Amino acid sequence: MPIPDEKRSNSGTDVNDATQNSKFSLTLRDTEAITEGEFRSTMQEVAKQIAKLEEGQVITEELLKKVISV
Amino acid sequence: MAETYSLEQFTKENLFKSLSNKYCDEEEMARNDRAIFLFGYLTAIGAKTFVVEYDYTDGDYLEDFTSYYARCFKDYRRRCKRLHFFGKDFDEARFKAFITKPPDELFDELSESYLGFVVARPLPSAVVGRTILKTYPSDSSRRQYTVIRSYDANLFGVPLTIESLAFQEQDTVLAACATVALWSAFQKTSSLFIGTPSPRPAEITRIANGVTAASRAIPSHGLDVRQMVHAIRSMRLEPELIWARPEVPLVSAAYGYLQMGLPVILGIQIEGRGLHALTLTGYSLKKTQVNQQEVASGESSIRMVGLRIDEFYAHDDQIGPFARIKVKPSAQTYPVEFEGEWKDEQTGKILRLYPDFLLVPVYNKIRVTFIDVARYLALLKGLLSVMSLMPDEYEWDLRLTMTNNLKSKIKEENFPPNDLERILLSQQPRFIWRATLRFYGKPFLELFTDATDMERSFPICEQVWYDNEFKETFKARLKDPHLATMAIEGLGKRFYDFLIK
Repeated sequence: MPIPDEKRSNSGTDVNDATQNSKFSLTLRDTEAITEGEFRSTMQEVAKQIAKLEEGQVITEELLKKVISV
Repeated sequence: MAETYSLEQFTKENLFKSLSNKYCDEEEMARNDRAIFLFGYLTAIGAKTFVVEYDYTDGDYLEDFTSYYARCFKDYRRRCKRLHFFGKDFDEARFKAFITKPPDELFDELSESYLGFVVARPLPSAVVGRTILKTYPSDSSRRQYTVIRSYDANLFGVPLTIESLAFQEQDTVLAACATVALWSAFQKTSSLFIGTPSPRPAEITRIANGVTAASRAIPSHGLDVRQMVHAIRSMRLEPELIWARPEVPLVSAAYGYLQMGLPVILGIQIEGRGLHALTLTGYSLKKTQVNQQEVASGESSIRMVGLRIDEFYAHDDQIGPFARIKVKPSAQTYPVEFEGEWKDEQTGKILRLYPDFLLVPVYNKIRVTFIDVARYLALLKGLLSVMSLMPDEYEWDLRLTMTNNLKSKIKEENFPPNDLERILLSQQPRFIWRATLRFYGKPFLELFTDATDMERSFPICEQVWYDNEFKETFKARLKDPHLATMAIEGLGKRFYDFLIK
């Protein structure tokens, strides 16, 4: 029996639909309050996180040789 | 005339009897994990009656038969049984009317109650052949079975349709788990990308062994990752391989591809057993966060939708179709761990499943990866956290989609009207990574990335802000010379230029 399209949700965002009618806004800080040191240290942390994340795409011989046999 | 079918009430005894054959009797079937799983699954989806179709010719088994079993000394049968399940009680007279009379109310009732079928192979073990069963209900959209397609079955001239993904258990002759995982995956990719093939298991094993076969191809005792990758390339698809490093938000990555309906092959180390492959077919998305993090303890990551996923559904050829794989937190080595139905045979203890890799067969024009886009989201999150009083309750929802699906979807949502019209009326790339930033569950910003482009060319092509006033102020402040220099340095010139546009 086919599941009717309207019942077969393929979108992960469906559970959020009910909340989309209201709006949320961020409060911006004064530009002058943002110091160079703070900015740099935040972005350096992000850069470190990205470098580690990208390791997930580095495919090695070790991975390719793994045998899936169970 | 020889008996061509039997009508059975759905009970454990009748199921095991009907699955059995001369090499594998009812008692053995009652101890078969797949048969036990199928009984539980069919009970849960409401099976009441089943029809056993004798002498069924199954294409997949027939190829296995001609490739191997026909040349054995033992006299294996070439035909199978096919068990068709219905969610209604009916007797012989009603079944005959269903088959022989023109469509009427009864016809509709039984057709609509059709739950799918299981092919029972006439083998000593690995009896569960091609199996196509209805999924569980969506439970108010919590369960999302995205990797399914339409299948037609014909029962004595009656056309029946089912939305599912084909499953079968490995026979470790022509197919081990890696082959079966690929077979299920290609069932879906062939319907998603017209013109790409969906070969039978024996053919997949042969193709995969076209590279670096360390041992004989058949009987097959497994494939290595390189062979799986080769099999995917041979289907005119590209393998997207993500290593489950401790820092990779693995749940969100799997979700990102599953959202488009792409099958995701999950390689897992089973505690004390070895490496196994299964095909993810869907996920359970909760309304609120269920996991504290989806990277290993001590690592950090942007908060993504994976924190709301408590379980995946997988075709695990040693367990059954749409089997639950629960997401569990991990210590240092893995981003997350999983728990399924794998148990220690002696103690009955549930075994931990440790992720090793994700392998996604994608169309060759999908070039930009989940990780390529996630890095931009991390950069923007960094910028927003410095420039604003950003709450902890945020979430990036990153998923791959196709233009036509995206355009249909945004029409149903509370998408900003000016952007909606602009996007609907403009040409967009065929494949798009859609990233939605939400605060407290409410959308705040959307970034669309051209998945057909390349990461180095800066592929983000659209930005949509839900708060116009914030957008204007944010852009104005970003142009402030005090911030501009730092932002260009932190984000890169292209990303900066895009954001102030």
